[in-house]
Amino acid sequence: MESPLAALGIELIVADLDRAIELFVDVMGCQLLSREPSTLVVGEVAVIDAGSIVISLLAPALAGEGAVLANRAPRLSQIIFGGSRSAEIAAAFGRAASAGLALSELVDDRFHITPESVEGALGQPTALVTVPLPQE
Amino acid sequence: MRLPAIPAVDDSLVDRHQLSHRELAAVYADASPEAAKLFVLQQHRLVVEALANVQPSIVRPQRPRFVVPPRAYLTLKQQRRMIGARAVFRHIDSRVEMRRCSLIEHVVESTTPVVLHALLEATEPDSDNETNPGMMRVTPTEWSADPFAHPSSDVVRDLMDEAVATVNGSTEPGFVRAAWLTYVTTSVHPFVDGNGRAAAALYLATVADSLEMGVDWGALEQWAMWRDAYITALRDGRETYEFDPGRMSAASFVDFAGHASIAGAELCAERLRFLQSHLDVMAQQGLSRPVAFVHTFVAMRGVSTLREISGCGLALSDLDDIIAELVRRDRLRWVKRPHGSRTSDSTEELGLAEA
Repeated sequence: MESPLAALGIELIVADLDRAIELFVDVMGCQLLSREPSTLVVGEVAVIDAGSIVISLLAPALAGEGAVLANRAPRLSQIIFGGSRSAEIAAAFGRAASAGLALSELVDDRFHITPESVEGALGQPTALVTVPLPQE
Repeated sequence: MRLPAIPAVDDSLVDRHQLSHRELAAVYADASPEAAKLFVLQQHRLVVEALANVQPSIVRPQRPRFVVPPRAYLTLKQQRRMIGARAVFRHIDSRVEMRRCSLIEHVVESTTPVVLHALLEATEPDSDNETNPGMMRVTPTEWSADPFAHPSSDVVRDLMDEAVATVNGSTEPGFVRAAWLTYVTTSVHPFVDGNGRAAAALYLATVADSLEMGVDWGALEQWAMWRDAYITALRDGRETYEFDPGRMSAASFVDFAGHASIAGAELCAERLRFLQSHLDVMAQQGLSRPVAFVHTFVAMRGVSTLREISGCGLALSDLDDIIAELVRRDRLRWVKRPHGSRTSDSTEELGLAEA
């Protein structure tokens, strides 16, 4: 049976963006798609093409204009899943809510299971983000 | 002046607060014993989760949830915090009852902050952080992400004593005094860790006396669901990088807490009405009141162990018959409990779920 959701990418919070990019691009041979200031929190983000998934590298800053990320410890911060149908995403939302996980409201076919509740399953605070796949 | 002043609050907010809680008390009084019990069981669980600083099931909800499943996938630290939070709730509940019987003068007295902290933190003895349950800090503390230096450890005991004396001597509405004490406690930061949880417990204890139901059943759930607004309201009251009462105001937080309490009371009233109508439908389907109660209790939790069901106050002999009837009618069935729902003190492999 095919999985209703597919992993699209991961986000890593890193302390040294130059070293992290070097590892993925120069050593592993991946392609750097972009490197720019982060829009959600103060810091810089690089996006790496890793074949079947995309890796985002977020280097949050200690201070600056905008929201400062409280927990800047390097970690796997997000796993991003995509769903092609609204019903599949809604079903995943329903299963997560019934399971007693903490999650954000389902809005525009998007939701995430919070890092705090994922920590209870994986032992590390990683958000599971679900988004709609872009229509071809 | 060693503490920020208790702020004046708009009369309309006070009126709305009073009205919403009167309405909730009236709906509760009209509810059947089964609906009232189901309501209290769920709200107690949600208050305990909030007191333990465990995230609620849905953060920033867009529509109200009448039935909220228990939080699962709890870390060991969260499981221990829940034990402490349950003990805190019992302590506050006992003091509220003692106050109602005129056995004590105030629900909150000078020792209450350290007692609540001791109960909250006592279950974390091997935590990475040395929290010294029930002991005020003797070292300096500060917030670094949102820079703010708390007052010197030399004065925290006096400041907390003064804060408790202030709420007990004030004639301001209960929720105003309670929210002010929460604001002051988080700002004074009397403990190394656990200040937010202790401050929330002090809110519950302070506001209790002014409410007909004795518990602000919905407020802390709102604080947890709207965590960003809670933090913003606390931050808005500080135009300083260090504890300076003249440049601090509890007005934003009191306003937030007032609205949260109103929203919580309104949601609680809706939940009670929902539970009552659900039980009424089951009665029309021919289920007796105790049978409908157990079925609804299990349905609200998703999967329930026998121990959880027996904690509802039904006699064990009756419970056996009720469960047998529900299984025979294909209303309930035994299922394997999800691993995410099992905890260190609830390891049962099987539970009951809706068929």
